[in-house]
Amino acid sequence: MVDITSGLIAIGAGIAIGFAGLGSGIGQGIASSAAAGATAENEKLLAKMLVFAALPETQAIYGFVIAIILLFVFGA
Amino acid sequence: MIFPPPLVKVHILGKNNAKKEIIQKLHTAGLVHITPAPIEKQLRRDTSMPGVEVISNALLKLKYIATQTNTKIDKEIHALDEPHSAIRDANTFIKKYFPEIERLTKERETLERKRKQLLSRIKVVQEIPHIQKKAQKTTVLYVSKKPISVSMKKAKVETIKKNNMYYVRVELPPEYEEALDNAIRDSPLRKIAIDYITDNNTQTIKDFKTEESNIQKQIIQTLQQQQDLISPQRSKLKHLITTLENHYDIYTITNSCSRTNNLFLLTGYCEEKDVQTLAQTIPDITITVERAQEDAPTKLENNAFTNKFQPITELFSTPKYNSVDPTFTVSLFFPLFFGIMLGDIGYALLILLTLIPLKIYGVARETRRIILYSGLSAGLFGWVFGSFFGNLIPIKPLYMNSFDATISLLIISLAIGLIHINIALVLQILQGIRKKQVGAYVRKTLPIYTIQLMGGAYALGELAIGHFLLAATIGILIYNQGIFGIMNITGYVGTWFSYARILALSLATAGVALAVNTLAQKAGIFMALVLIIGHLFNLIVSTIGCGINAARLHYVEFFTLFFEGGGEPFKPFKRKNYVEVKQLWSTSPADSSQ
Repeated sequence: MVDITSGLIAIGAGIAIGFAGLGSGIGQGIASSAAAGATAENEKLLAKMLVFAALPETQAIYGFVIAIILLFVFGA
Repeated sequence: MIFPPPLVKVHILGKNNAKKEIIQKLHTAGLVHITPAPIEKQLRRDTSMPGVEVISNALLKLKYIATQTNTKIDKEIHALDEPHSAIRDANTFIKKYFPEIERLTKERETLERKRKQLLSRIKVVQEIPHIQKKAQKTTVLYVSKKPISVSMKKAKVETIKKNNMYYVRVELPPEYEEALDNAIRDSPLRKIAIDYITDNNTQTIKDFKTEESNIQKQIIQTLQQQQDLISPQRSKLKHLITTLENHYDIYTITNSCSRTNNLFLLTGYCEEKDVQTLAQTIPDITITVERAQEDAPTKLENNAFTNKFQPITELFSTPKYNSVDPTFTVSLFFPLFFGIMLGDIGYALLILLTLIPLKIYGVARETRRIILYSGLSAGLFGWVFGSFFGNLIPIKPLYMNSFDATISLLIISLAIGLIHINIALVLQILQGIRKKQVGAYVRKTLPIYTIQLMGGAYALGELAIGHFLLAATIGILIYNQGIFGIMNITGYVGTWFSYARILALSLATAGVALAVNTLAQKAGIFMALVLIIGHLFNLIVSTIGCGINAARLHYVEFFTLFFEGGGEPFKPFKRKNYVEVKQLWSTSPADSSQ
């Protein structure tokens, strides 16, 4: 039987990574579609467009770090 | 090398009557990156050397033969014959083979057009099977991508939808056909010729298919004839193309020169040590040297290990002249990041195995080396984490399983990030020293140092020092970039936190592998199938993800702290495809003999 604290920590971790991933995914989708268009016109822009497409990913990492801390530090 | 070698701008002045010999010697030396020479006072832009049109014409025809016979110009050692001899050989070759190759190509193109027409006719008859020739009536067929309605008093109209296309079949007396054509001129309908329609469509399709098959055989025959004709001469063809390409470069490089009636001026960049070599090799020239400015090209010089990672740097941008070339750090950190993120012995072995087909298919050596080092690193970290296709083959980890060491791995990832960021800051300061602008470059990097110290002070509980450093950071940022500069604090922290993705990717790879193994245990007789498909899927997805994220950590987090891109790559005027000189340049004018 899981106690209520562990349950709440798991829910918190889920919310942290879930919403961060959702926001990051939406941002990355917008940036990537524009980057794909730009790369189609000029393939030399590939690396720079990769950077733009990857930028919103950092927000998901914030959520991931919070989730890890919640699970392994507070949940330990 | 952290900094690309310094270059000098050279102005080479020579006599017009010795231009060919001088340029040939420069081409052989291969030391100078040529840029357009200045046009001022009595100097005017030079043109291509006389005779270039003969080379160009021959080259065009030879390349046509090469394209039609699928001849690839690979890197081979070719002797560079003198131009008039090369042109003579080329013309003999062209005279002998070009007309036949051209005739066979035209024949093939006609056959291909005919085949395409037949295929489209087969498609129409198959899709509209009830189109038949009728006595006293004309049947006209139109096609449209959009649904369209056609009605005509004197005609019978039928619309048929097939494969997202709308066919409109109109049956009408012959005298109304022109009126119908005029009426639909501006509509999306396109008329299809159906004069081949008979009253027996099954037989028509059969006949068309037989004809199409015969044409296909004839196409193959023409291709084979071309191959048979050129195969014994392929080496000669490659040699002629390579030789003429080199002569074409020599004849056209003068477009970048400027000239007077008697003299020509060629401007370019080379290493300072090469100026002496140039002066000794080409005694008939006067060389003036000046210091290269910011717009000079960048010559990247890395050792045998690090230069394999040069494409990763160049994919982002060539460093600006006199700026840091980060290839050395990329060669260390790219395999490290990739290795920790993938971290599995089984996947590493499979990656190393892919090197065999990659070599067979002629993938660039640099790419193969990047894959080799990254694969080895993944294998090493697989041993560290005790992962061999996840937990499929149990091995004793050198450190500990990534699931048991999550927090330790997070700390290690962030520590690596801190080291990486600080290397970027050191490179930035070195760049400042090199450009003699230490103050400006230190001011740029100072807030990142104070933020790190602030973090350290807060972590140690030294709140007063922490508050002071926070205030100092804000002050520097406002001084550097104005009030909105304060927002950079979160940006810098974000850059550091971004290195947590090393842990994230590592856990993702291990997690999916674990899931595949768990599924396989419950799959009964399909165990092997689940294992193969699951691990292949994880290998492909994780390899792409780890590669992109290892590159991203460089491009977004590392390069943005110091890298000054937008440089022009150093491309010396030199021989193409390993050409070696067999005969010396003839002093007799090549063009006059043509």
